[in-house]
Amino acid sequence: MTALKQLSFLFAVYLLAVWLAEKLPFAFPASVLGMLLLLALLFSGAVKPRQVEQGADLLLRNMMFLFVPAGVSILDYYPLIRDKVPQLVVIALLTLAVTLAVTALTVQGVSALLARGKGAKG
Amino acid sequence: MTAVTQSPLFGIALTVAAYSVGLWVNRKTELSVANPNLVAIPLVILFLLLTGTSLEDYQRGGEVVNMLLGPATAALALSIYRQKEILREFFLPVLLGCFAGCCAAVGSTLALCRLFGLDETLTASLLPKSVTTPIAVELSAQGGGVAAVTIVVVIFTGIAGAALGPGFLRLLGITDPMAQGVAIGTASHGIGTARALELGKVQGAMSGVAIGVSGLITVALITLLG
Repeated sequence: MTALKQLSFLFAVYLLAVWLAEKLPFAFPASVLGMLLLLALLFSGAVKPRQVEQGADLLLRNMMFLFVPAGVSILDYYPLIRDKVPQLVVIALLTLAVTLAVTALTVQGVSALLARGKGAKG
Repeated sequence: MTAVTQSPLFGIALTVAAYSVGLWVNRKTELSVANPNLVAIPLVILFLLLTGTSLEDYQRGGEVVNMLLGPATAALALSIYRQKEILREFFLPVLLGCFAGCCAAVGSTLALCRLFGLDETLTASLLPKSVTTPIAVELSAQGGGVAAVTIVVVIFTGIAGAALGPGFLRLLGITDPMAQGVAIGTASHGIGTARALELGKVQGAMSGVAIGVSGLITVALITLLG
């Protein structure tokens, strides 16, 4: 019952976000807004992790399962990408390389700067 | 037979069965790149084609499963919250690394989509491709993209990052475990993180933190772009 109650609480947070997202002056994904709401509740201490974790972990552990039906819909959209598969693969691989390089070099650079700053102070 | 296939329970049961086979293959091969969805999705499609069941019938149950994605995305807040200690300790390098990486991901994807002359629908489907699937799907839908295309590209990106990421970073001379972890998490979300965990504890933890941080940054970036 605990997991069911916690699941229902998560449904309520999400539905509140759906309602709020409609009121926003710009387009914003309701589920991400729900995540921000729950994040605020957790950081403010209004909700304790143990009050949601049974329900949340049930969803988090099975997250990838939830995408199977949406993925199966590729059946309907295959004509859209049929002629574009080589381009899609090239884009995915090139942007992957760019993202990895930029992120890693930035983290390394910032860490080095911080270490030097600490060294100068000490 | 139609009474069976038209019940939402049929689609749910078929999804669970196909995903269980996917998990089994994933465990047997012990490869982080053998993604359960990569097995489950073609398996469901094969079943529908072989039995002549319509996608519409399957999706009666599929929609029920799909409906849980909203609350599941909200639940991601808990996994971000659990990483608050590590985030506090390495705040600047993680935040700046994720920010630079997300700008690079969205910027390079947009540039290449234009270069290849892809239409707006495909471009919107590809833009969020580096982030975790639940966030990517929402951002794709918001921009007029197709969820199914986004899911396939996100999984492909994750698998490519898991398979090629560590070697590519070594080639670049990146030896800092934190830099390796944040880069893999930012570029290839949860699938990459499974591989980062194999590299080491620090890499795994940092990759996990980067999923949430990069997800939020990408939401901001794409919302501002749109």
